Parts: sequence; structure tokens; C-alpha cells
Amino acid sequence: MAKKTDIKNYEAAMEELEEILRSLESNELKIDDLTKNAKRATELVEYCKNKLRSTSEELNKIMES
Amino acid sequence: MDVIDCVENHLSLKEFLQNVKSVLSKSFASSYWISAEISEIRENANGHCYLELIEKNENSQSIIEAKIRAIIYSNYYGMIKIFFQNETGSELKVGMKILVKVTLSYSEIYGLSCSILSIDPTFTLGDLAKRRRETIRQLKEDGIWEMNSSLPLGVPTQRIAVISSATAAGYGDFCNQLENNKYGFCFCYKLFPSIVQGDKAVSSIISALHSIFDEIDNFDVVVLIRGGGATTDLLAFDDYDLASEVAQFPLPIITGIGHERDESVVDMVAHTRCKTPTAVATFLIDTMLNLETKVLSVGQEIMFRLSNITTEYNQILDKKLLLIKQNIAQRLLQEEVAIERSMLHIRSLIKQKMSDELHRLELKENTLTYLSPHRLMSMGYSFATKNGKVIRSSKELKSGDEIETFFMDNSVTSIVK
Repeated sequence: MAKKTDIKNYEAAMEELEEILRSLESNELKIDDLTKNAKRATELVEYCKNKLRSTSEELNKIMES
Repeated sequence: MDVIDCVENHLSLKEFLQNVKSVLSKSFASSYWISAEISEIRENANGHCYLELIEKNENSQSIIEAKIRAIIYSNYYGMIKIFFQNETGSELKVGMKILVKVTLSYSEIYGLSCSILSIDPTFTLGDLAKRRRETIRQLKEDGIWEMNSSLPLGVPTQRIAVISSATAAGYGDFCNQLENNKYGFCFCYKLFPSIVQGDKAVSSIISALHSIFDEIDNFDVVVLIRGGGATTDLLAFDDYDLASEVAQFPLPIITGIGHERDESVVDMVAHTRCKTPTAVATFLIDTMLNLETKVLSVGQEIMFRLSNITTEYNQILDKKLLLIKQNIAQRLLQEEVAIERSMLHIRSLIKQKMSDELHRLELKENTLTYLSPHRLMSMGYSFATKNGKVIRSSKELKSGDEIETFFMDNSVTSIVK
């Protein structure tokens, strides 16, 4: 499961994904980091999918106020 | 004298006003088309419509230069009302400019008034269009025309402030559509109830916007919807004040006002215009879907590239491995050839050596054969021994020594003299 604690928000997750893609496109990525990046990308995608579907505390808050 | 004169020759108020009426009815016998602005309007229970018509100073809207009461009798009003509404999409209301056919009537009790017989809605339409153009021009001049539409949509757009009438069917459609979206996206919305049609719509919607502003951090987007009502009165959405508030609102506003005719000014300044509340919900769902599609495609692209890189490096490794193997094989072959060559060399050297040795041996053998005693003796040489030792010099001998002389076939013993 994705660690949600170190992902700030959807936008940040998306930016990080694009950053990974950029570094891949420009061949900046070290071979030693490939697995790490693959794992991270999966985490980020999972986080974003969840974010679009689950009701977070933040969302519940607007109904209380 | 004056006083007596007055007393004898005066008119009663009624007589005087009857005179006025008589002159007026002669002078203004026919009907007239007049243009005016409605400053008051109310329908009575008896079906008559009472208005106050005014004309303002061209330069200063606060100066009223003409004013008269008007009435549309119920036998005209029913028809005029429907005709006007069909043509303009709006009811007669305060602030509207109208072109009406009137007759002047005068009552000794109520004074001057007009009786409206007919109306030309194209005049009002023209005026509304002119005002609309004016509103648009003003908003552009204010520099706020594109303010809301240039705001980025939140990522994601999940927290929605809804301005709608709580009881509108359109609101129900909107909620239903959002909650039952087939992708399972989660939305959270809060209703800010508002009147969305009629005279109070402008102030009511503006006040709803202010309420949303007070808790703006809780929302990503504002939705302004209207629908389900029978009336098509949309003048509020061309209002400058409302359009100005919408344009400057710091969150994107999506409209679903639901009407057939050209889009309203509020639609134009809003972030996104949808036709109906349902269409707004669809837009929000599609926005989420686009977001997710983007995330998934970036994720796939990353995985694709990662696997490409892995494949690429595997290929490089394979190539290197192959090169190493080829190198080793090459080296081994070279070594084998070298060994083979060495072996040949060694073999030929040995052969050479052996043949040399053989040759030497033959020479020696020849020498030996040449020098052998047997051969010499056969040629007539003989040798003598004293006490078993070969005598090499005569000095070794003295008289009386016994010596043995050897020949090819045998030996003889003799005494030295």
C-alpha cells in the first residue's frame, strides 16, 4: 500500500510523477534508482486514484461547517 | 370689486377639472406610441396592472424629467403580458424600457393617467441588448472580464459550493448525477440556498457568494445552477453587479443556468458555462476522469520507460557478455594455435637434434671403426704387452724382459735381448 504520509496532496503527487517521467526522458535517472522509482510511481498513482474516490477528513469538514 | 367678481364668476373644482378633461379629450383624442421606463409595477387582484412610467435625464439617471401613472386594464393585460413574455423571455419589471401605445385619460379625482393598449417588445429587447452590451463593455473596461475564466481548476475539483434554490429540480438532478457517477469518484458539496430568479435573484446570489467567500478554503469550485422553474426570467444573469462579483470571485464558477437563448453575461464571465445542472455535474465528473486518465497515463509511461531502460541495459549487458565470451573464445583459439605452433617447433627441433646426434654417432662409429685394433691388426699392425700392460716405448724395456706380442689371430711370447 502507498504510504500516504509523505505525499502532500494530489497536485504534488502529479508533479512528482511528471518529474520522474522527465528524469526518465532526459536519461538523468541512475540505474540503481530504477526500482526505487518504479515503486514510487506506483505509490503515487495509487494515492491519486484513492484521492479521487475516497472521502477524506478534509472533505468531511465542509459538511460540518 | 375683484372679490365680488370672483365670487360671481368662479368655477367649482369639478367644473374646472371637467373643462380640463374636455380640452384634453379633444386634444388627445387618438392613441400615441410613447417610450418610457417602468418605475413601479403591480398587478391587482382584479387583473388590472398599475404602473408608473418615467423618463430620466439622459446624462443623470437620478433626475426624473417626466412621470405619469399608467394602467393596463385586465382585458388587455392578459394578452400583453403573455405576448411580452413570449417575445422577450421576461416579465414586465421595474427598470425596463418599454414602447407602448397609450391613450390619455383624465379623471377629476385621480388626475392624469395613461391607459396602455398595446406594447412593442422589440423596443425592450433592443434596450436590453444595448444594456447588455453596455454591461459587457463596462466589465471589460474594469479589466475583470476574463478574471474568473482564467483561474485554474483545482486539482482535484472535489469540494463544491452549490448556489441553487434548495427545492429546484435541477439541484436534485445535479446531486443525483454527482453521487451516482459510474467511476466511483467522490464529491463533497454544500448548498448555499439562494433565490435564482426574479427581482431578488441578484442580491440573493451575491450574498451566497459572500457566504462561500467566508469559508473559501473549504472549496475548489463554485457551481451556480438553476432549473426546473417554469419561468424563463433570466435578466438577473445579465446584471452588472452580479456579473462583476462572479468575474472577480477567487474560485472558478461553473454555471448551469439552463436556458435556450444566448448565454447570459454571467455565463460569459464564469469559468465554464454548461447548459443545465446535469451538464455541470457531467463536466465535474469528466474533469476528474481527465485527471485520473492523466495520472494513469503518466504512470504507464514511467513503467514503460523503466522497462525499456531495463531491457536496454539487459541488452547492453548481454552484448557485453557476448563480447567477453567471444574474446575468451578468440584468446583460447589463439593460445591453441600458439601451442600447436610451439609443439610443431619442438617436434622439428627434436627431430633435428636426433638427426644431428645420429650423424655424430655415425661419425664416431666411423672413427672407431677406423681406429679399431682389429682393423689395424688386419693391416699387419701388432702390439706387445709386458706384464699385461701395453708397451708404448722401447724405453720401458730392458734385456731379458718377457713380452707378449699380439697378432690378428693369436699371440707369441718372446724375450728381449
